[in-house]
Amino acid sequence: MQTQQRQKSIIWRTWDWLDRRYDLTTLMGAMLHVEIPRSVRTYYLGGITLFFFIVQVITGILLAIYYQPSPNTAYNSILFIMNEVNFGWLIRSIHAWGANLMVIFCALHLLRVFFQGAYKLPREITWTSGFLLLAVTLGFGFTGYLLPWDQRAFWATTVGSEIAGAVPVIGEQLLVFLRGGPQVTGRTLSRFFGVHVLVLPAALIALLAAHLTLIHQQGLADPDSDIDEPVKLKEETSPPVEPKKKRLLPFFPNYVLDEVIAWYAMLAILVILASMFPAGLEEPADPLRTPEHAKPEWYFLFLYQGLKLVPRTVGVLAPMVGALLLFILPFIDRNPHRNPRKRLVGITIAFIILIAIIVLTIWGWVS
Amino acid sequence: MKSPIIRYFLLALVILLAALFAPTFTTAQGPYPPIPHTLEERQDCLRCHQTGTAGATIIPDNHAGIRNDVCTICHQPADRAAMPLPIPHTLEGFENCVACHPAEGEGAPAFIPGEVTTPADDYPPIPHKLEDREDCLECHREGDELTPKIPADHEGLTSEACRDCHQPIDMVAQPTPTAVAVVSIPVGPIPTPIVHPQAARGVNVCYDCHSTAQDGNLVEDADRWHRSIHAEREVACADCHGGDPAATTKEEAKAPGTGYVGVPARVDIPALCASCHADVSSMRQYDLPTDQYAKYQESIHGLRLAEGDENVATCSDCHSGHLVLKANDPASSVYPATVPETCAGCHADEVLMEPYHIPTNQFELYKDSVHGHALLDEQNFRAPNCATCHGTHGAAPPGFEEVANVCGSCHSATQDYYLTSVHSSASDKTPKCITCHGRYDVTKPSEALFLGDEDRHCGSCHEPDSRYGQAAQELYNAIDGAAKAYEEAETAIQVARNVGMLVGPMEGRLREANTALITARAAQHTLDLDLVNERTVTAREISEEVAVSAEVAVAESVFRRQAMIIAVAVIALTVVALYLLKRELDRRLEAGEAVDDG
Repeated sequence: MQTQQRQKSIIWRTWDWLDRRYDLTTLMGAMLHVEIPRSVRTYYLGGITLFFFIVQVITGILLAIYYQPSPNTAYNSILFIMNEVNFGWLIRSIHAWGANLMVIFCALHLLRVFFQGAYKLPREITWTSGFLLLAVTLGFGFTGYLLPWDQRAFWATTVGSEIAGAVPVIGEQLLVFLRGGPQVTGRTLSRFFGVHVLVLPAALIALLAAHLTLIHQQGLADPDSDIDEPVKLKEETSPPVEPKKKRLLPFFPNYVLDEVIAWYAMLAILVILASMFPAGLEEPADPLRTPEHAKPEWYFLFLYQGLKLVPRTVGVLAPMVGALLLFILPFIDRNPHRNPRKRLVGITIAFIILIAIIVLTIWGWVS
Repeated sequence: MKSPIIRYFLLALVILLAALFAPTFTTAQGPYPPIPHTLEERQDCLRCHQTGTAGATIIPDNHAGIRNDVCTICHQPADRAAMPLPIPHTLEGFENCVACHPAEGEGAPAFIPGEVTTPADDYPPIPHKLEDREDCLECHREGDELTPKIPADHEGLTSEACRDCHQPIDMVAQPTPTAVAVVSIPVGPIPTPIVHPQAARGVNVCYDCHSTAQDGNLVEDADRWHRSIHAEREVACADCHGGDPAATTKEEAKAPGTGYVGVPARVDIPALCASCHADVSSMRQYDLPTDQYAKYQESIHGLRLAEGDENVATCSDCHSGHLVLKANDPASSVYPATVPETCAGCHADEVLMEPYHIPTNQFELYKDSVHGHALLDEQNFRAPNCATCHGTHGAAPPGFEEVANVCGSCHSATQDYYLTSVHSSASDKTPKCITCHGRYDVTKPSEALFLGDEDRHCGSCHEPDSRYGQAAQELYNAIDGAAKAYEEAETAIQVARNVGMLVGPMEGRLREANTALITARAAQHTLDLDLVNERTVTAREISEEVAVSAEVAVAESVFRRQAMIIAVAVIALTVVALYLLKRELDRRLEAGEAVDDG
C-alpha cells in the first residue's frame, strides 16, 4: 500500500492534496457518477450544441484580439484576420460555420425534446431555460452577422432590424434601440459588438448553468419507462412503489465518452467546412448602395418572407405569439402523455409549423 | 433578505440602476437636438446661432458663455440621409453668409432646413431619362468621359435627394453633339399662320364629323390627331388645314373666306409648321426650341425641297402628319431608339434613293454596329442614332474633316489623343475616325485592327514591312501584351474565387490595371509608342502582380485542403481509439451487470 502511495503520479498527488482540503471526490461523485437510463435517446444534440458554444467562445476570443469594432476599421481588420493572421482564416471560418451549426443543433435539440415529450412535467423550467438559450443563440447570430461590416452584413442587419421596426406600438423605439439611431451606423456596430461579446455570453453562460443544473437534478427524461403513463410529481407518488429494475448506464465515463466521440465528429465537420468553404467577405458596407437582394441570415428568412406575404402587423405578431407559446409550452400543454401517438393534435400542429418555417425559409432563399 | 428594509432597499437599488441604464440604450442620439446640416464651412456655430441669422435656431439662455468648440460635444450632425439639402450653391466667393442671408430676411432666402426655396431651374437639368437610372450616384459618384462627377459639396447626399433640385429635361431639348457643332443660323421671318375663323374653346366640328365619317382614311387621321400632342395642346384641324371649325355643314366649313386649304402641298409643310414652331413667343410656354425651320432650310432636305424636289423629307415625314408626339414619348417616330427606323423608312428604299445615287444599307449596317446594339438592343440612350451625327433638322452628312469633331463630341478623350497624332490633319488623305472604325458599321474595336485581316486594319494603308507597319506591330505588341496579362489575371482571380478565397482586394487592384489598359487604348490614337508604353507597362505590371497574388491564394487553398485531410485523419484515428475504449467500457459494464444479476 505504501509502495503504491509513493508511486502515485504528480497529478494524483495534487488531486489528493486538494481532495483532503476541499472534498473533491464527493463533488465529482455528485457531478459525474450518476446513472442514466439506457433507453434514453438524446442523439447527443444538446451536448453538440454545447460543444459548438465552447468552439465559439475559443474562436471568438481569438477573433476579438484582432477585430476592431468601428466602421472605418472593422472591414480591414477582418481582411487582416483572413489574410495576415496565422490561421486567422481558419479561426474565422470555424466561428462562422460554428455559429450556423450551433443554431441548427439548438433547433434539432428542441425538436427532439418536443417529440419525445421530455419537456413535460416535471421539466417545465428546463424547457423554458432551453428556449431562452435558443433565443440567446439567435441573438448571437443576429449581432455577430453585422460585425464584418461588409455589404451583406450591413444590409442583412438593415432588413433584419426592419422586422423589429414592424412591431406594433413600440416598433419605432425598438428599431432605434437596436440600431442606436434611425439608420444602421457605427453606433449600431459598437452596440452589436458590445452585446455580442459581453451581454450575450454572460446571459448564455448563466442560462446554460441553470439548464445543466436542472437536468442534473432531475436526470434525463426516459421516454421508455414513462411512455403511455401520465407523468407524476415525486410527492404525488405515494406510497412509493418498488421501482422497476432499470438498465442503467453510468454517466461517467460511458455516456460522456459517447458525447466526446460525437464532439470529435463535429470537430471534423467544422474543419472540413472551414477548409472547403471558408467564410467570405463582400465589398465594404456602403449605406448609399443597396444591393439587389438584401436578405437577413437564413435563420431569420422565414420571418422576412412571412412579412412579405401578410400584413406587417400579422407578420410580426404571429411569430411573437408563436415564440411566446413555445416558451410557455409546458404550462399550456395539458396532455399528460409523452407517447407521440397520444399527442396527435400537438404533434400535427408542430409538423405544420415546422413545414411552414422550412417552406418560407426555402422560398425566402430562392426569391 | 431577512429584513423587509433590506428587501425594499435592494428593490429600490434595482429600480435605480434600471432607470440609470435604460436611457443609455434607448436614447440613441442623446437628448440634445442634432445639427441639421453638414459642418463643412460652418464650424463657427455662434455666428448664426447667437443671433438667429438666416433662420438659425437661437441658442438657449443656459448656453450663455459657451464657445464654439464645445457645441459638438453634445450636438452631433444628424444622419446624412435624413439631413436636408446642404447649401444649394457654391461657397466660393460667398464666404460671408450674412451678406446675402441677413436676419431680417432681405435678399436671398433665409436658410430654413428642409425649405430650400431657390428655383429648381438654376440647377443643371438631367439630360437623360430616369428609367433604370434611379441610382444617380452609381454613375455620377465617380463620373467618366461622358458622365459629370458630382461636385465636392454634394458629398454625403443620397440618390433620392438629387431630384429635389435636378429635373430631367425634355428629350427634344437634350443637347446632341451636332447641336454643339452647328453654328447658329440667323432666324428669318416667321411664316404667317393660316387665318381661319376661331371656334369657342373645345369646339372642333371638323373632328366631330371626321371621326365618325364613313371615309375610313379620315377617321384614322382624326383618331391619330386625337392621340397627338397637338390635340392635347388644343392645336386643332383648322390650324393646319384652314376652314371654320365651328361650322356645322361641310359647305360652310370649307366656304371661301374660311382659309380652307385641305391637304397642304409638301413644299408648304415646313413653313406651315414653322408658323407656330419658329415663333419664340408661342413656343416659350412649351420650352421648345424654335430654330428647327432655320436649320431645316440649311439641311440637304430643305435645300432640295426649295429646289422643288418633293421626294425629300419634310416635317411630317419624320414627325408624322397627324400623330405628332413628343420626342420622349416611346410611341413617337422620333423617339431616340426609333429614329434609325424612321430615317430608314426613306433611306433604305432603293427606288426612292436611286436618283440621289446614295447607298441604302446604312440601317442594316447600323443595326449590327456597336452603336446600334447599344441603342436598339440595350436601350442605352447614350448611344448615338442617325441624328446624333447627322443632325436632326439640319440633317446633312458631316464633312470628312468634321468627322473627328462629330465622333469626339462623345469620345472626347480619344479625340484629344487623335488630334495630336500625325494622322490628324484637315487633308482628306489622312485617316479619320471612320477610316479605321467604319461609319455605320462601327464595331467594338480590338487589337486585330493593328495586324488582323479586317477591312480597315493598319495594313490596309501601310505595308507590314514598312516603318509604319513596324510601328503598328509595336503598338499591337504593347497593348496586346497588356490585354493578355489582364485577362490572365482575371482568370486567375476567378480560379481563386471558385476555391472560396477572398479576392476583393485583388479585384480592386486589377481595376487599376483596367483603367491603365483603357487609357492605353485611347492613347494609341496619338501613335506615340512611348506614351502608350507608359500605360501598358503599368497595366501589365499590375496584372502580373494580381495574377501572382491569385496564384498564391490558390496554392494556399490547396495547402489548406491538404492540411484538412491530415487533421480529419487525426480526428478519425482519435474517434476510432475512443470507440474501442467505449466497447471495452461497455463490455466491462455488461460483465458487471452479469455479476450483479448473478
